[in-house]
Amino acid sequence: MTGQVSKECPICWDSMADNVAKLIPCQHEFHLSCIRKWYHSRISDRTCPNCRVEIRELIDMDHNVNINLTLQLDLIFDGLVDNIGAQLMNMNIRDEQKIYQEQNIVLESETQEVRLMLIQCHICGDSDAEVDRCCKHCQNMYHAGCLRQLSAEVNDNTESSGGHCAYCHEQLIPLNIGTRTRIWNPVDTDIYRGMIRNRNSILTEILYESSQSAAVGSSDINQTCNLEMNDIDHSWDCMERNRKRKEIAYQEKCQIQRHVRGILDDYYYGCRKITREQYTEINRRVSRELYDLSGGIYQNLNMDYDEQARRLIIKEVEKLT
Amino acid sequence: MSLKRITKELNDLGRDPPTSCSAGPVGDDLYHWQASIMGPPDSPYAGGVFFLSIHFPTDYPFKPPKISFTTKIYHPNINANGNICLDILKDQWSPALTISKVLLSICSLLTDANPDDPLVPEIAHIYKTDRAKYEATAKEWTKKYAI
Repeated sequence: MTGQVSKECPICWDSMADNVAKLIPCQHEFHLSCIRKWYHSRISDRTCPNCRVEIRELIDMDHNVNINLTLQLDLIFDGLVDNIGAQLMNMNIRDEQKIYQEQNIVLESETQEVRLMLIQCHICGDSDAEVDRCCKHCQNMYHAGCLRQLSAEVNDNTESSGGHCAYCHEQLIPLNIGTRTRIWNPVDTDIYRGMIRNRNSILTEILYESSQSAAVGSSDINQTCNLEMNDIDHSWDCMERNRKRKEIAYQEKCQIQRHVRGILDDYYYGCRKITREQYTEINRRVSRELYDLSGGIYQNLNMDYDEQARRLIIKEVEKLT
Repeated sequence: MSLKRITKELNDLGRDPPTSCSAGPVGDDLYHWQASIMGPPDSPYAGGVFFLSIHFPTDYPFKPPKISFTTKIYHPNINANGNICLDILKDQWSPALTISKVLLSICSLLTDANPDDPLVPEIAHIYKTDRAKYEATAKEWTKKYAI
């Protein structure tokens, strides 16, 4: 019915002069807005409407940008939280005075229930009762399992116990929240540098527990409080430094990984020698080896990443057979 | 988007109608159509004309249209209410499909039933064990309700 001249989007049947997306691997074309609407309406099984091949990636032809639909959440989580936090920051500015007042309120009513707080693993972002580690200094909370996984990912064998904060590297304390019922109260929540949390919640927790033990006088509590406040300010600086360092490292890693994926794509999309799982596994191993080889810095001038990646990938693929 | 796409499909059907099927809106409501299918010659439904009702969801073509037979028909994949058991009308729907394509699929379902995924197990059982009886009943129903 229509020739090559006026292509139509197979979804809306309007002409595709712009807003065009090409699917990878099948190369079928649709309006970017139409295909996005289609795959967002599918929970799993994102397939091409024309040929039912699973969609891995699509190219925004107008801007020549590749959009990966299989990106893992853990890769983007840090940036995501910062982004949401930055948006929320505009709505709620930290108020030292208010926090100080809250502190007093807590001190005056020692017998009250623990203040409400949002408990969230700082790695996976889940808010559940399984969150069982907390940094006394920067108040980051974690699943011990997530910490172990993270340390394995960054090849840090010293962290295999999950005993230190991923941001400020201070010792973590156990957090038992499974036994108490808590609700997140947004009014009580303080937002600071991309993290949503009640700022003095952990402190409150410690105070509450020490008051429960009944051996602590009020002057001691005051002292603990001042000490903790200084430590928290210090650890925020630490955390900010660490966050920046991590951000740079992440960009370097992305650049290195691009070489690895480029070559692995031939195996996966080209000759289909490897499965999706093998792709992920080889990508992880080879990328990690290349990070180590480059000492954490992307050295495009000193190293032939394509050649190195190819060599390592061939080795990994040989291991499979 | 849905109304524009439905209108285009309607124009297309008018310009290039598929053999053995027809479809169009019932009244002013473009989201509610009626369709008819001629019983395929190589099937026990030959000679019959079967009517169907089509309801488009507002998010068409991202969701499949709801299609059911209004003419009674004896078929393992179509029940007494006219509901059709066809994968492309459910989880295998694709926005690149059209009413015309779906009607053709229903035509081929009339010729080749799928007794392994039945909507009416009794008919499927007869279809599998006593094909002659199935064909006779289907012919009888066609004569009674569709001619």
